[in-house]
Amino acid sequence: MLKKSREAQAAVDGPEVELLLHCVRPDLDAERVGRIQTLAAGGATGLPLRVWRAPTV
Amino acid sequence: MAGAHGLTALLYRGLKRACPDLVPPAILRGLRARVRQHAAEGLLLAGELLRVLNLLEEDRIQAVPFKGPVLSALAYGDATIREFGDLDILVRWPDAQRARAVLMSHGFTSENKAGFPLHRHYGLTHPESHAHVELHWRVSALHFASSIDYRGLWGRLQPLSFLGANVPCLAPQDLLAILCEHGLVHCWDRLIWICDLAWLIWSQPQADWGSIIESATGSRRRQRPVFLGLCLAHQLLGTPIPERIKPKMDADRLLEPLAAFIRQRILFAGPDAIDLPDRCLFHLRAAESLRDKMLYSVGIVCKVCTPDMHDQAAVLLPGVLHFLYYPIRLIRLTLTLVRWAVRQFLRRDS
Repeated sequence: MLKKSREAQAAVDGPEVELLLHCVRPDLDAERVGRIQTLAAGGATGLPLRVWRAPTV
Repeated sequence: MAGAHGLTALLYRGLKRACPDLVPPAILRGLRARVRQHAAEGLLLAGELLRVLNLLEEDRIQAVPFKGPVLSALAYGDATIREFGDLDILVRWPDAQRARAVLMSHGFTSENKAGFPLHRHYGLTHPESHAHVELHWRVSALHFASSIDYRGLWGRLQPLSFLGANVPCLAPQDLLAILCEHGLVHCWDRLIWICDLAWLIWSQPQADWGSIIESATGSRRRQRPVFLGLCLAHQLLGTPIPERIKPKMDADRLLEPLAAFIRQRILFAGPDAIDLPDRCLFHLRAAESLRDKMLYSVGIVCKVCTPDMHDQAAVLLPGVLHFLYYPIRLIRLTLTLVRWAVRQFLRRDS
């Protein structure tokens, strides 16, 4: 059960959730920074643009 | 999604570090404005927290803050990173009425005019600063079987340097138990609560988390709240589980189904997506023994049959007709159950 990785789960959850989960991790290492860049650029799994919604201030 | 889960500041920090050039400038500016606004509000509340703690200390009432700015400083290393809207302070049950009176004598107004402790905390608001303070004597209602050592935790308090002052802070095992029980009560429906756990553990790498977790789980009968919190932090944010704890967590076969339920709901449906019947069923499944399940069932029946402020808001009745709030409560409850059943049916159908 505990061996189930976050990456495997993220594949199910979708790129928006994966991007968020990567960004809020305490251990933001080079590998994760690379993955965030890929997701934000819309590569690999293809992040839909609707993710970029401006927050209400 | 990040805003709804209280993660704007963490998201902004992650994006700024990883890929500021790939985020549309307007979005980044919007995030930064939101983060600054939260930070300003957080600093005002942190100042109010120090004032409240001083007032209570002057009256020799022992109080310890948890969550809010103190947790933010402890876990994230910055009092303003964590988004919060109120100040949660733990006091001893016998001191709760006196603590409430002290704050009211300094301008706070209470939501509970009669002062009768129906729940697990008093809510007070200052009319000028708008600071909302919750004086807790318990984290969960009485019908939750708690693993928190409310008597012993006062002897384990530790000093924390916070905004130039020394404030009392819960020992790691007590803070862990309280955060996990709070998460369970609210069905972990905010990702920030899972982040709190992950960052707290990550912020103290030298600590013996195996011993701390064993201490937090207390009696063997009630270790699921802490294990569920750790399971979610591990699965979603990669928090390492100490080797000596893994076999114990693996032995709990209900842990994964409970965690899967939470993951599905918070990631796809968002915060507050779990309605009351589902919450009750979740709590019932999470209770570890037959005794705890029965305690919860009896408590929840008593609670749902007792009229609350929502019933009073639905229909305003004069004092002599207050007994009618009981049948009104039952009608509202029946309607809630019917709506839930219809949603379940439609969900299954689709």
